[in-house]
Formats: sequence, C-alpha cells, structure tokens
Amino acid sequence: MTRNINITEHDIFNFVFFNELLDKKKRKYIERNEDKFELLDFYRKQKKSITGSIKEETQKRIAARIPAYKINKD
Amino acid sequence: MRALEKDYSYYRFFTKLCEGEYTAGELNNFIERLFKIGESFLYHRFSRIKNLVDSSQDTLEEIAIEAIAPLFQNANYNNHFNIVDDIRNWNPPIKTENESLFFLNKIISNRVEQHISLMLRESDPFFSKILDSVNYLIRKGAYKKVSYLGKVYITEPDNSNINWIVITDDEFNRIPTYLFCESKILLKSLLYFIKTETQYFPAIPLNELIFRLKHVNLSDYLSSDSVNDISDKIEIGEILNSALSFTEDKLKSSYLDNGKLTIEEYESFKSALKSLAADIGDGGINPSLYNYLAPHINGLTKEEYKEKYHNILEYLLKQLKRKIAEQF
Repeated sequence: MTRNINITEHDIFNFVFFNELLDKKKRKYIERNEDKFELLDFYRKQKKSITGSIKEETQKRIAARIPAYKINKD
Repeated sequence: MRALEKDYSYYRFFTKLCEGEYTAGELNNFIERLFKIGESFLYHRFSRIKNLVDSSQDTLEEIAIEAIAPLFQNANYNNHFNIVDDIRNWNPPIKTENESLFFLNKIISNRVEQHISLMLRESDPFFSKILDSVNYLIRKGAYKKVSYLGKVYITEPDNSNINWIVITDDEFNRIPTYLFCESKILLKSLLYFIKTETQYFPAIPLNELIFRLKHVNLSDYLSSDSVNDISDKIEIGEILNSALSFTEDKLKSSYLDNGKLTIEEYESFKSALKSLAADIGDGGINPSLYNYLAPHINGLTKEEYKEKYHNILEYLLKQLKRKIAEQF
C-alpha cells in the first residue's frame, strides 16, 4: 500500500493535547479518518482523567511505595 | 478527594526537578499526575491483563504505583531521582510543554508494559518459553523492537520508526494461521503480509504474537533451529493434561494418603488445580490463589485459607508449572 502522509504516535498525541501544534495537513487527515486511529480514544480518556480526583486511600498507597511522596494533611 | 489543577506546566516542573528546587507539595502534585497517566494506560490495556489481576480498582492502582515508583528512587551516584536522568538523557532533548507530557506518556507506558510482560511471564510458563524463542528470532534476523504506546512491536531491520497506524489486536488475530506455522520465516512472512495485505504499518505486536503462537503450534517455536516433523508436534492441551495429572498424583500421595487433607478437601484442591491449569492455557493465572480454592470450599475465609491451605496450593502450583516447563 502506498500513502503520501506519515502519522506518528506523537502526532496523534498532539492532535488531542496540543492540536494547534500539529501540521495542518496531518490534522485534516486525522479529522477525516478518526476511526482509523485507535490511540485517539486512549489520549482523549487520559486528557479527561489526568486532572481527576485522588482518593485518600490512593494517596496512602502512593506514600507507602514512594517515600518522596508526603501525604498532604491540609 | 481532591482534583488536580488544570492549569499546570510539566515543563516548568521538569526545570525545578532538575535543579532540585521544588516544594513537597509540587512534588506530590507531579507524582499524582504520573499515577493518573499510569492508571489511564492500565485501563487501556485491561483486556490483556484482566485474567492476571483481581479486577478491583485496588489492584490496578497498585500496578500503576509500582510502575512509577522506580522513577522516584535516588540514582546511585547523586541525590537526584531517576526520572531526572531520564529527562536529561531523553532524545531529542525536552524543550517544550508538549514534549514534556509526551515524554511522560512514553516512559510511563513503557514501564507499565514492562510490568504487564513480567506478570505474563510469571503466570504463564508457555508465554515465557515462546517469548524467549521469538526474541532469538528477532536477534538472529536483526529485526527491531519498537515501543508504540508502551506496546512492543517487531519491525523490519531498517524500519525503526513507526509512522503509521499499527495493526489492531483483532486484525492481528485474523491473520491466516498458516503464516504462523514455519518458525524460520515467521517474522518475514508476517511483516510481508501486513505490508501487502493490510492498510497497517509493517509491525508485529510482540505479546499478541506470543499468544497466537501458543495456540497455533507450540513445538515449532521451542527450538528455533530445529526442524520438526508434523508427527512430533505438541499440543498445549496435552502438556497441560499431563502436568495436571502429575500434580494430582502429587496431591494424593503427599496430602490425602497421609491424612493431611480430608477426601472433601482433596476434591476441592483437584477442582482448584483444574481451574489453574485452564487459566495457564488461557492467558495466565490470577495472582490471588484464594480465588481458585474458595468456590470449592463453602464459607472459606481469606484468613482460614492463608492459615490452612495457601502453602499447599502454592506448592502444587509450582509442581504444575515445573511439569509444564519440563515438557518443552
């Protein structure tokens, strides 16, 4: 199969997180062919979840495994 | 519970981290973000690991934490965390916010995937053995291993950058079986097929390949240089049955015949061993052995299991795995 465009993992990441940085031609291509790019769904979910809440129980687990992490008592 | 702030700069914190000038609160915030990235990747890969973990949120959290923890250990030769070396050594050098978050995605997805591979190796002796053989084929043919969202793909010797969409697991599992039956030309044939017969970048997902091989024909991949007659081919089912039978004999002679287990307990252990063998054949075992025995002993608590039965089941599982490995 021949194609005249390259789309890397970083391009798909940029499409979701830093859309304005993506080359216009690539952006248009991804927009028109979203169903081909499985990674879009992953990065979109991550973008939503990355600022989500951290439970106290999770904080305790992190602190138990990573000594540099100190539970914030505020 | 508290949410993480939306207006956050990874690049700014990288600078502080590298200079050692940050507050405990800033470091906490950063670690929590890395945890979230790790967790998102685990959800993405859940279909591959669901057999290996308790399906609880707790276990996924523990894996995500385990995957990022080494980044915050101090490097041996200075007081920096390991992640500082990763940031400084990343190529191309990180200079923007975009590159910072992409870098974090790459290293965390790689670490989570390494953790998943380790779990697969430990829980499935077939997986481990076939992986060794495929790694030999990769080295021998000078193929490349390339990470794409953490997953490892095998690419052609002169093709180490994936710049197009990769084959989905479902599509890979639809590749004709005959292409998996000749180990000497296995990688070449698969890459050629993907290149010429599909729309995807010529790259083979390594773990999916191992699972596919496991169910195609085991014997061809146990010794990549050997030529096996079709009559010598070994089926996974035969190996599992033989290993299960051996382990059941061990259970009887070591625990039933000398009165260490009652006949009811013996039957329960036999059922648990059958489930363990089935899971080994089907993608790997769950690390909580309690889950295998509990359905067969009414009202068995975790405490009672730990006190009375865990050592026995763990010993029998070792025997089962050893017997499987011996038949390769």
